[in-house]
Amino acid sequence: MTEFFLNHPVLAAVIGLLALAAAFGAMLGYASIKFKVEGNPIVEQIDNLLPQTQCGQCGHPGCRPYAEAIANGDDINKCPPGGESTMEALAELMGRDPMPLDADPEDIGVKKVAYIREDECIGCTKCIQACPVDAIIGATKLMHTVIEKECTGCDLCVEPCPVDCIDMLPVETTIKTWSWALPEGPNARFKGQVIATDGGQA
Amino acid sequence: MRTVWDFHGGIHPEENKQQSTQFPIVDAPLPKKVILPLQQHIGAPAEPVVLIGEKVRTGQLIAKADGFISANIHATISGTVVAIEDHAIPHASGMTDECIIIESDGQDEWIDLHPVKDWENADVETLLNKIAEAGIVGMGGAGFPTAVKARTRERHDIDTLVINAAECEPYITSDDMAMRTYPEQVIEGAKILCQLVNPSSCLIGIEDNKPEAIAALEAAAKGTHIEVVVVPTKYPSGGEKQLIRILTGREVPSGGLPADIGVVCQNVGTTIAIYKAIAKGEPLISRITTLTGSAFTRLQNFEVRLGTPINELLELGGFKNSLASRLIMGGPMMGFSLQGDELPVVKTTNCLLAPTHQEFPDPEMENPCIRCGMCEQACPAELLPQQLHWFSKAQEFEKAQLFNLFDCIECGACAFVCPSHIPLVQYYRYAKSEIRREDEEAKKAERAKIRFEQRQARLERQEAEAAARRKARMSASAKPAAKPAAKANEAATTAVDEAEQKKLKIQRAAAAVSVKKAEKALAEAKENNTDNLTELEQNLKGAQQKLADIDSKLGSAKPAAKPAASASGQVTEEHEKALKQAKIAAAASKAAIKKAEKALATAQEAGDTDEIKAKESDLATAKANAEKAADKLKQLQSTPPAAPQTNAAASEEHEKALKQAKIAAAASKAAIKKAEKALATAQEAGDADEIKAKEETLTIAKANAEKAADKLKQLQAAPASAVQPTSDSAQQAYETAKAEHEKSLKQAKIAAAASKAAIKKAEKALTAAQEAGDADEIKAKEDILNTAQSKAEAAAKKLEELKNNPPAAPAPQTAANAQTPEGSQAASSTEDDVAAREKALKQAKIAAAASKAAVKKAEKALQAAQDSGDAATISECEQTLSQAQTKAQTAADKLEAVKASQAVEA
Ligand code: SF4
Ligand code: SF4
Ligand code: SF4
Ligand code: SF4
Repeated sequence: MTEFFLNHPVLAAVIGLLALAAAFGAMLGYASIKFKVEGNPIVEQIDNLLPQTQCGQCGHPGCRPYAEAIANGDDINKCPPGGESTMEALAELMGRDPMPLDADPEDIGVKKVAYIREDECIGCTKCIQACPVDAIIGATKLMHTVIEKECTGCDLCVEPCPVDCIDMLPVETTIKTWSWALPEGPNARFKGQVIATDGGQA
Repeated sequence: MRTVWDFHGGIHPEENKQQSTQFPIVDAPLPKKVILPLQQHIGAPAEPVVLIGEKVRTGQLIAKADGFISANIHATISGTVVAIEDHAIPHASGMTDECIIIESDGQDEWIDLHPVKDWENADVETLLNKIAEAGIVGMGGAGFPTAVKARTRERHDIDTLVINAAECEPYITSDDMAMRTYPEQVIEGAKILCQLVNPSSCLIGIEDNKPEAIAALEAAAKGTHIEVVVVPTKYPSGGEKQLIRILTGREVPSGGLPADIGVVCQNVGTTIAIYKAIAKGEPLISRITTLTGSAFTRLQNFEVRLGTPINELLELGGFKNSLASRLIMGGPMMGFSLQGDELPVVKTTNCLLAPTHQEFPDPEMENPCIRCGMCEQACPAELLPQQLHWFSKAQEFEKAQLFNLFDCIECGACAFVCPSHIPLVQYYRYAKSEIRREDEEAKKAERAKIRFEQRQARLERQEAEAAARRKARMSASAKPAAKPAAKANEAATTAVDEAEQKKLKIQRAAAAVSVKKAEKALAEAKENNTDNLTELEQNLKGAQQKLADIDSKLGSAKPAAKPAASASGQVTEEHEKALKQAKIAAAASKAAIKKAEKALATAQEAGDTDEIKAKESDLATAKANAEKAADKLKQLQSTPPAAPQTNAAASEEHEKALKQAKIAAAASKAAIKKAEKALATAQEAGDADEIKAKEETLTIAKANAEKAADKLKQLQAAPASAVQPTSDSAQQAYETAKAEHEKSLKQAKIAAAASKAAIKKAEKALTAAQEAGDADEIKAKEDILNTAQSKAEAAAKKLEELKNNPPAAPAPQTAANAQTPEGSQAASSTEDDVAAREKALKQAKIAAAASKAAVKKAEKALQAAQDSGDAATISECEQTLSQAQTKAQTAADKLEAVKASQAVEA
């Protein structure tokens, strides 16, 4: 054997390489089966960037369908609830150029929550059927109400209500959701709560 | 002397502490009222346990800790709870939060206090409970519930207890004065803490600018293992991580807790509160607060009841508003400006600072960063403030987090040294709150996603179930029809066979699944070489056997019917076919009735009148169909001449029909009872709409009962003709037609009722519109009402027509073709008539329904008009209504007449 290889160095090299190729091929093949990635990870990634309001303003029945559409080449500027920041994140992820949002400027990024004027509700359950995230509770002929915590502000329950008793109210800032303002930057004084620390010597 | 380490950075602002240390601590006068926010700590707000108007005594629990990280709140004066409402609280946002407000009775009556006697020997749990009960939180600034912090020992090995007495922030002297006044309480408190966390050493870290306090503490600590460690004055040595570094040389890891490196740190004020809670049983109801700043005339430390409105304190301190540049809670470095003075003192209020304009001029203009790097040198957390500033400004929060934004303690040292007067801390605060908000949103989005997906899955499942049901129904009715050559007897047994076969098929499916499972298990077992192979093989064999059994049963069940079907050969194939189809139709319609009844029952349970109505009409249609099918069947069965077996079958059928009719009658009686009951409840509840709805249900139920009774009578009278094989098929055809007509009329009546309801609805809508006073809306509704009314009229007309056109006269046909297939042909021609009439009736029904709707609408409109008191509208509405009512009346009369004529004919 050794002698044979010594006598035929070229053949030995070829055989050796073939053996390596076969071994690695088998390993790769096994790995591709064993560590198979389920689904389309890019869709997953896009979906994670979308706000999950499930409002359908992008023209797709929910955020995931829009994520799939983007993966298939749809524009990235169709999600008003996500606003500028979502579009930019999508542009970065997809390696595309940012583009202006395709929406009413008033609609962009405004967080809203549905509110049912409960004494006017006739309990028709239409809004329950419309809500994409099951954030409305109630029963036939009984008053309905919105679980504020789960409401995504998608607006979809307003239209079906036969007595127009659902309002979309802007989400109010409470002491828990309040946040500091961004200082305006150079050549301005920060009007907020800055104390001695801003002016140098106390 | 202990080695003392140094920490990176730090600054030396002017101390300004001497102003407020000239006089001893004084009890502030009792406030007239106290405002106690439910959240004065980190964690969940407390849950109120008192009611408005309740009398409380000092120290009484008024709000209970809600959750693991939360703290109790106690009444700080005796008096009456006057409100539990949103009130402005000291917070940088200047917003409101829920507070309990107590008005003083001036007595300051305390509850009975229960100190822990002999605490040196008490167990840890008792002490911890007492601390938690007392509502003690970190009093240095953050307000973290102390009992929770003291429990860290359960999860970490603690070797060092640090009492933070550094009080490094300028102006504030509350800890200093407390240590001077109550050194023994500090030491006792530290001892209690030692007992809780059981450290090997206990260090009190104190800056060297408080010599009196140091002396007092050292005197008190003599003879204990507690060590007073004097550290050089440098801001912010009182930062928890910084003090730990100074005293132990250990570095708290980024994002970690002191407990991770075996240290627990408590503030002096907290230590005193612990002592009071354990040794005196006093809950946390007051604290020492420094009033300082040159806008006060009386700069001093006061023992203040929590919840005391700040304006009372300002008065006490001789606050001069004209001098003050602002009012700050906390110190000049880490405090925040207050908006208004209607705010209460809370557990973390260590200082009220009212500086003059000289002391605290307005903020300087922010200039661009010159990249001098001074901030970096000042930062005690060893961060890169400049970078953080850029990232925060550009909203590149991810990068800011990479640069450890959350390790920033917001000490303000960087902003203090910044030559460009950049409000750096504000940038960090902004970035931190934005990041927290984004996190919240991401969490919410995740929840929304899950909820959306779950909902989607649910809808799909329901859709699939519905589709499966549809399919099952379709195949159930299609299968028997696919065997046109089947014999008559087979048809008679089809229903039974089918049921059997279905059962068998289900069993077969289950058996197949179990076989597959067994096979899989076996395969797996073989792969894994497990030793229960034989057992598994047996299982598989058993399952296969079962499957084979079922298969053979299934096979035999099918042909079993065939040999039995040795009907007389004279019967024509066509006739057989027709009979079979009729039977199938009968079976299907029966199933439909059952389903409709079930649906009705559920609807009645749910109490949805619309639904009930819809279901009832469904039921009526189903019953009508069933009747039709039964009639046809009967007719067909009695037609064949030389088929003795079918005679028997016919009589059987008749008996069956009789039975069913009886059952139906009984069921309808039950329905009436139920409806009556429902009506009674509705009347009790006094809901007019409900009552109306129930009354309608009741009438419908009664009508059904009548129908059932009629049918029963009819059937009982008919047997002779049915049993007779030579009975006249034409007569039967006529009967069928009559029944059809009757049915159609009934349906028309129902439709008329429905249309009335529709009118009422329209009226209601109009009323609402009129109430709302929207002219356009009113017009629109009136239009709808008018259309509905005209439709109702049309329906009524059609009804009349129908009434005047009873089924084709039976007499001429009676004597005609008997006993032959021709008879069935004649019957089918009559059926054509019936179908045409039925169609007309249906249309009439729809129209009648619409007209009823119009009437209802008009009524509503009138009511609304009366409510609004507009005379012109009222008269208009009244006219419309009377018109609608006349129309409805006509329709009802016609219906009545039709009913009467039908009864006579029957
Ligand atoms: S527009 Fe609405 S549904 Fe579409 S991606 Fe944005 S949030 Fe989701
Ligand atoms: S759609 Fe409107 S009326 Fe109907 S249940 Fe919802 S809120 Fe009530
Ligand atoms: S505020 Fe933050 S960044 Fe600035 S010095 Fe203090 S810890 Fe460092
Ligand atoms: S101290 Fe101010 S000017 Fe200097 S580098 Fe820091 S932020 Fe920039």
